[in-house]
Formats: sequence, structure tokens, C-alpha cells
Amino acid sequence: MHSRNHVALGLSACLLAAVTPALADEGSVGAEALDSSRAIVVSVVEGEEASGMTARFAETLVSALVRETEAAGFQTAREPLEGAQASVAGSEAAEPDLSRAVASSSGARWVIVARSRVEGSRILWRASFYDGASGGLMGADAFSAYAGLSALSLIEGSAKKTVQSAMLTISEAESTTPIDYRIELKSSDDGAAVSIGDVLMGEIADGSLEAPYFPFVVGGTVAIESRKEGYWPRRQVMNIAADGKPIVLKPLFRKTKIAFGGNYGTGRMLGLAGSFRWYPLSDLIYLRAEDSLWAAYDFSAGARPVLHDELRIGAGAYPLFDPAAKFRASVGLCASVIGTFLTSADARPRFGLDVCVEPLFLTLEWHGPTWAIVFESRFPYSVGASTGFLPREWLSVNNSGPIFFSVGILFKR
Amino acid sequence: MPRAILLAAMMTALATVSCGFIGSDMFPRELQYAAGSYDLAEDLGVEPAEVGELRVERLTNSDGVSRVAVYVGGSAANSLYILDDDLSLLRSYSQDSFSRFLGIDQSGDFACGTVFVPYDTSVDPTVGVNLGCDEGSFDVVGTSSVLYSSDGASGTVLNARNKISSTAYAVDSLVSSGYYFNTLDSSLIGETDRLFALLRDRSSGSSMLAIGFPDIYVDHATMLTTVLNGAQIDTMTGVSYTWIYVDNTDSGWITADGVVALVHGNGSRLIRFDLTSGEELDSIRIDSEWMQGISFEDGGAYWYFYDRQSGRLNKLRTWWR
Repeated sequence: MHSRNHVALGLSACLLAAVTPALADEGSVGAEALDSSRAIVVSVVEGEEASGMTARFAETLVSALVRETEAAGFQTAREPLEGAQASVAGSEAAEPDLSRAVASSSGARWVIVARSRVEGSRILWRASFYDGASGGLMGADAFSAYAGLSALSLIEGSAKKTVQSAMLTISEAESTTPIDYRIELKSSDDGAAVSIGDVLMGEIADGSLEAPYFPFVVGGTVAIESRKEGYWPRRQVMNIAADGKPIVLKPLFRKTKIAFGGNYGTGRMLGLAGSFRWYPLSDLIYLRAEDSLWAAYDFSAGARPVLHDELRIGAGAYPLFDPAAKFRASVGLCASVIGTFLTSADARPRFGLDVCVEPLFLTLEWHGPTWAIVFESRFPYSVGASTGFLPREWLSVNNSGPIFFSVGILFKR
Repeated sequence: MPRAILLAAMMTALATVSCGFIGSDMFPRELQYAAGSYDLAEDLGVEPAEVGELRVERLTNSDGVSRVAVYVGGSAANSLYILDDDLSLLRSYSQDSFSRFLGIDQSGDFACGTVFVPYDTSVDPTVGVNLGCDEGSFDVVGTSSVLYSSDGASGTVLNARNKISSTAYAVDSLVSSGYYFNTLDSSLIGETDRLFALLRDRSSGSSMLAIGFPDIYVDHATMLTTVLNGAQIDTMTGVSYTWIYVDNTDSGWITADGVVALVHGNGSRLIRFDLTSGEELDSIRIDSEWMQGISFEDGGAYWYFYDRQSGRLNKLRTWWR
């Protein structure tokens, strides 16, 4: 019959590890001084003085532990016990101190003790994974079997379980470690009040804010909310890192009251437009005015430029209201008047005034905190005013359809 | 923001390259070429789209006086408008004897149908001899002949009719038997004494149309005049043609700068072809849906059309000058 004793201890257990006076003079070092990427495997053979069979089983256990530890990402070496280390190695209770001593002398943080002995026809072994900085047991596995070939696979399995349980303990220990620094917040919004949870941390000044100390857990998340007069509040969930690097807050979006800018588009490619928006409801509904000045010109010998000026007024709204969204879409309607001047001196008449309506225009907008890139498509209809040159019809560009597109920039205030 | 600017620049560049209509807008392209207009519908007292059959020709009489003549056929009496080169109305007439034929009579005055119209608009017009004012009759300015086509048993025959005697002569049976044509325009271009006629193939009844120039080479203008007067019809030699094959066309005009064809399909275009080689020279896109009575001056400087939406007769510079 086989028997098993699997041990996996948590962080609290390792903090309780005792210090044996016999090893006190060996000294111990903190975790910072040890190399967390390195592991040392030491072998302890008990009972009848290392018979050939016992040595072979012990070697199998050590080899399996080295292999599994390296597979877990540690740089692993085996090390013989010497001096005081060897004198206490016979006791399992002294293993925490043994691990600290080995870690101190080798510089490796992790120490795996492979303990084995033969009793009659049975081989017994125990593999223990220690944190050499504290002597804390991170994982262990004990087992016994008939001392035959069948024990070899069991030994390898035991080594695997030992390393797996240690890795689990290590990751849990890291996830519950409180930070030892004050969180620093970086933001471009000077004057913004920052809260973590419901606790006000202070205001951003000169682009940063050092929050009061809170024992946040490494790897945890915190909800940070920024508020500033004239801007939409913004809540962000951020991860707490162990490295103490500042947390960079995303910029706040202005509550848009007005916006102005310019655009360029098809149907008036020899010209530009200036636009203005007023938002009775910030970032939700806007009234707009736009003036476009352009020339129509074929660049042929017989052509003379025709100058146009269009004044559009209208209203638009964002159906999907999200004031912090970078990508937004709006729809609306407009009306416009277009003044036309024919530069050809012999043209009659030389002036015209057309009236158009736009039952629908669409915008796709990419927003920054204080600016937006706006792509617009519109569908103007001429009412066929007798004072103008346009007939009553849906307008098209160059007889190619309503391809009235424009791209422009808006500056929000 | 740089990515957004890059995106905007790419979209703009795409629109510019793909569409290729820099300089175009929602307004009629013809405004860029406008050289005058006359509110014909208002003068007629009808809605713009109610103007009936209409033909426009710029005529130059024997004294070198040019006038823009506009024939308007209607349910009531037919009308003739005589305008100067600025499209200012000089006088309008109304007579049943007016017809689509516009030319210069044997005495050098303007003619519309069977009516002679003195260029001195203070003098009333008189009904003269029948110039053979069929639908497809075209005056060959500077000669005593009117050119027209007629269908024979085995094909279309190009005919000349003497303005004085009203006698008709067959000029040429053209190409080969089995082909039928309509004469679209005729002009005497330059001092090389060439006579061109635009012909439309009616045989296929499909979109494949041909425009050709029968070059009637003669030694000099006098001989050409003689030919067109019918006296030496049997001695005429050397009829050659330059063919231009154009899909979807039903109209064409001859100018000193080339032959212009109105081509439909995927929008309407006016395409200019070289007189000698028949090679395409250039073109412009137009909205011909509301255009009526398109006409090009023989000299190639201007062209005209009536706009059925605005009711105005428009004079435009040609795009190549």
C-alpha cells in the first residue's frame, strides 16, 4: 500500500517559520538580496548509511526536482550540504533554517529539500519547496512505495506535485502583498479632483498627484474618478503594480459648449468651409452654422471660374450619447442659401441665389479631449428658386450622385 | 491625434484621386462657359418645358452680318427669333411658313423654311421658293446649295438642292448599298474647300453609330460652288470619308476646330474629334436631359442650347477656346 502526505502551505505559514539558534550565525538575507529566478536542490538521505539502492532513489528524486523546477522557469542547481547545514539536515523540523542557510550561502531564493530513506523493502521520500528568504514552506509532497522500479514513476510524480503546489503558493503570496509606496497619478488635467473609490485623493497639480498611502494589494484594481469643472467626470479602473510606477490617467473630455473649425470636401474641392456649433445640451444636441467659399472651374481654355458662397444652418444630435466616447456619430438637418457669381464678363445673369434644404446629414466623428475630426455626408435638395441656377432636384456632384463628403476638424470650447 | 489626421488625409486623398472631379460642384458646368442668355420661355409666354420643336443656328449673311436665329415650332404659328451675338432680341416673327430649315437664301438674306428674312429687321419677311426645307436639310453657307439626304431603294443618297431653282441633285450614294443615314450637319470649312457631312447610321437601329466625312475634293471654291449647283455633278471625282465610330450618339456638329458629337451613356458628354484624323481631342460632361436645340457655330467659338428648366437660351464658349 502507498501512503501520501501532500502539504501546501500559504503565506501565513511561512511567516511563522522558526529560527534555529544553531544556524543563527549562518545569517539570513531579505528577499531583495536573493535571486528569485534561482533555485537550489539539496538532498538529505536518512536511515541506514546510504546504501547503493537508497542513493539511486535519492538521485532519482533530486533529478526529478531539478527538472520540474527548471520547467517552472527557475535556474536550478543541486548543492551538497556542508558544515552546520549537514549537521541539522537529519531533522525535518530544521528544514526552514536549512533553507535560509542554503539561500544565504548560494544567493538563490528558492531551496528544495529532497529527503529520502529506506525502511526494509520500502522507500520513503519527502520533497519540500522553501522560500529561502523567510524559511517558509511553499509546497511539499511525501510518499512511500516498495523499493522497486515502480517507485521511480511515483518519485517523478511527487516532484511534479511539489513544484506545482509551490508555484501556486508563490503566486498567491504575491497577489496578497500590499504595496509599500504611495500611488502617484499623472494627468494632463491640472485642477482635476481625483478620488479612489469614494475617498478624495486631492487635485492634480503640475500634471501629477501623489495620493495618501493606502495598502492596496499588488495586482488588485482600483476605481479612480477624475472631476473637473467644465469637463465630463471620468472613471477608470486601473491595476495596482508592484513596481510603483505612476498611474497615467486618461484625459477628461470637455463639456462642449461651442465648437468651431474648418472642413474640406467634395463638391467644393477648390475651396474651404468654416463651421461653428453651439451645444444647448453639451455633446448631445447642437445647432450649427457653416459658410463655404469655393470656385467651380474646369481648367479648360473656355472655362471661367464660377464663385460660390454657401451659408448652412441646421441642427444635429448624437443618438448614442456617450460624452467620453472617442468615436461618435450624429445626424441632423440643414437649410442653406448659395450665392453665385460668374466671373465671365459677358455672362447674363452673373449673380444667382439658390436655396437648398438637407433633410439629412450624417457625421462620423473621432473625438479628442478638446478637438474632433469630423467626416460628413449630406444630401442637399434644391428648391429651384427662380433667383438661382439650380433646378428643383436632389443635387449631385458632376452628375455622379450625392457624393457630398467632407473631412474637417473641430475645436471644442 | 496624428492617427486621426493621417486618416483624414488618406480619405481626402482617396476622394480626390478616385473621383477626379476637382473643380466640379452641384451647379451646371455650363455656367463656367456662359457668354450670354435670353429668356425665351418668358418671351413666348409659356412654361420652360412647354417650348416645342426648336432649332438654333448662328447665320452669317453675304454682307458678313451674323445673327442668331431661333426657330420655335408650336401648336400655334411657328416663331422665329432673330438675336444679335449678345443674345439681345432684334425681332421675332410668327408665320406658319417657318420650319426647321435655317440658312441663307440666294440673295444673302436669312431663310427659315420657305420664308426669306432680311437682316434688316425693319423689313418684313417674304415667302420665297421652296428650299427643300425637310427635317434633315442643311444650308451649305457660301454656296447656292442646301444639303439633305434621302432614302433610295438600296441606301441613303446625299443630295444637293439649288436654292434658286429648287432643283435637286444626287451628290453621292455614299459608302455602299444597304446603309441608311441621316444628315446631321454640313459646313464648308476653311479655304481648303472641303465639304463635310455628318451621317448617322440608321440601319442597325442599335447603339452603334457612325459619323463620317465625305471629303469632296475640288480644285477651288468656284468649282465647289459649281458642283453644288449641280452643273458638274457627273464630273465630280474623289469622294473620300473619314469615319468615327461612336456609341450612343444621335447628334453631331461640324466646326472649324473639329467635329463635336453628343454621346449618351453613363452620363452625357460632348466629344470633339479631329477633322482630319478623326481622333478624339477632348470632351466635357454635360447634363443633356434638359438641353434642347444644341448648336455649334461653324467657327467653333461658341455653342448654344435651350434650357428646358430655366427657359433660357444660353450661349457658351466652347471648352477648347
